[in-house]
Amino acid sequence: MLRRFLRNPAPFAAAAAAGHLLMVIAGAARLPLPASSAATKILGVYAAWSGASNSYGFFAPGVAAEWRAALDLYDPRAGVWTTRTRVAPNLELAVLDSTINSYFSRKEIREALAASWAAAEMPEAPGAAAVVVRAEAFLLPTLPEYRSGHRGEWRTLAAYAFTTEEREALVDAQDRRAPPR
Amino acid sequence: MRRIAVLRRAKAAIRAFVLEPASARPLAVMRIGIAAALIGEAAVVASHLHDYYGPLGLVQPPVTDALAHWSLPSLPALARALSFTGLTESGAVQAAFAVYVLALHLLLLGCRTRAAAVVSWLLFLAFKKAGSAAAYGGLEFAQIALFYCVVLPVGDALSIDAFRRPRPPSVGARIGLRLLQLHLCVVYLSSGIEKARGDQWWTGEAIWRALMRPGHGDIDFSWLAVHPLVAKLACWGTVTCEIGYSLFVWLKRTRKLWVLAVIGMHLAIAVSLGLVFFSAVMIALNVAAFLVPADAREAIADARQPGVNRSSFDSAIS
Repeated sequence: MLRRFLRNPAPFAAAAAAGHLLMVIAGAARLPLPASSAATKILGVYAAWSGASNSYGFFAPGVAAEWRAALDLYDPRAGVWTTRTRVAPNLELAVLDSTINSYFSRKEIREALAASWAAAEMPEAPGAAAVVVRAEAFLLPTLPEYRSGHRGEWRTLAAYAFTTEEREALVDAQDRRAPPR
Repeated sequence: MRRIAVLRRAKAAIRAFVLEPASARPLAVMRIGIAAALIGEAAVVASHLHDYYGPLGLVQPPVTDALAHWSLPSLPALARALSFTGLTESGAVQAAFAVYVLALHLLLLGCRTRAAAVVSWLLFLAFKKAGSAAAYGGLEFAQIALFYCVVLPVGDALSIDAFRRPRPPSVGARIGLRLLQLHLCVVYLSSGIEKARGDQWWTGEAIWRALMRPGHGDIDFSWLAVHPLVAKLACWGTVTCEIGYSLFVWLKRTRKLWVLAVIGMHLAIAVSLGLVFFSAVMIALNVAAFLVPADAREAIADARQPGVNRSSFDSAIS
C-alpha cells in the first residue's frame, strides 16, 4: 500500500478529496455525524479545522431581524440614566457587531451575551453604578405594511441589570451624602 | 460490448476530469485573492483588536468558548506558552496578530508558501476561536480557503517560490481545482435551495428585509416598498443564480456569463449590505475556480520562456 502510494499518490489524493467533498456535502445538508465514537470525534475535529462541516444558508430560509444591545447606565451622583448604543466605526466592524448581537436571538446565551456587553461597557463609564443591557430587535414592517405607513422600530425583547460590589458602593456613598429629608 | 465501451469512455472522462495535469494558476489566484482580502480585513480590525479578540473584549470567554469547537487552537493557550517571555495576554494577542499579518503577506507573495499558509491558517483559527461570536460567513469561507492553501499546491504558480523553482502542471493542481469548483457548487446549490424553501424569497421580503437592516450601509432602499416587483425580481434572480450555478458553470457557453452574474451579485452585496470582505472572498474564489485557465497546454505556452524547465512540463502531460 505504502509502495503504491509512493509510486503514484494521485489516486490517494483524489480519494482524500472525494472524502473531504462528502463531508462538505453532509455539512451543507446539515446531516449530523453518526453517534459518538472515536471516528466521529476525529471527523468532528477535522471538520472544525478545515471548515468542511459548514452550512451555507445565508439569509435563508428568511432574513432574520437585526439585533442590538442598548445600554442604560445609572449615574448615582446626577441621579440620571443615560442610554448608549454602540456605533461601529466602519462597515466591517458593523458586520462583526451585528453578528455578535444576532446571538441575542438565542435565549440560552442571551444573558451571558448581555453580561459581556455590560462588562465591556463598565470600564468606559467609571461613575455608573449599574448597567442595564436591553436586547433590542428591529421590527421591520412588510412591504405592504410599509406602503400603508408603518415604519420599523427597535423593540426591547429582554433586559438584564448588572452591577458589582464596588459600583453598588457608589450608590451607598451617594445616599450618605444626600441631605436627610 | 457496447456497454463496456460506454463504461470505458466514462472512466476515461472521469480520469481526465480529475487526474489530467493542470496549471496551478487558478489555485495561485485563490491564494493571492484570499491573502489580499484577509490583509484588508486585518487592517480594518487592527485598531480594535482587543475589542474582538482580546481577553477583556466585547464578548467574554464563557460565550466564545460555547460557540467554538474545543479542539481549535486558542489565544489564551498561546499566551500561556509565551508567558516565559514576559508577555501579557494582551501582548501575546498583539504579537500573534503581527505574525499572522506577516504570514499573510508571505502567502500573498508566495514566499515559503506552504509554511506561510500553515502559520496563517493556525493563527486565523486561534483568532476565529477568540472571536467566535463575531465569526460570520466571510470568515467561514476564509477558513476554508486557508485550509486549501495548506493542502493544495497554491504556491506552484504566480509566486516567488515558483519563480525560484518552476513547477510543471500537476495532477495535484487538477484535483485541487476540482475540489474548489465542486465545493463552490455545493455552497451555492445548498444556499439556493434553503432560500427557495422560505416564503420571503418568493415574495420579495427577503431582499427588502436585508436592505432595510439598520446600520449596514447608507443607501436608502425604502423606495422598494413602492416598487415591490423590483424586490421580487432581485429575490428570484438571486435564487436562480445560486441554484443554476452548479449546472451552468459546467457548460462552456454559459460558464462566463454565470460566474459574472454571481460576481455581480456579490458586488451588489458589498455595496448594498456592506459585506465587503465576504464579497471579496467569494469573488476571489469564483474567479480562481472558473475564470482562470487551467489547461496545461496554455500553461506550457506561458512557461516556454528562458529559465523554465521545459522537459519537466512535457513529461508531466505525456
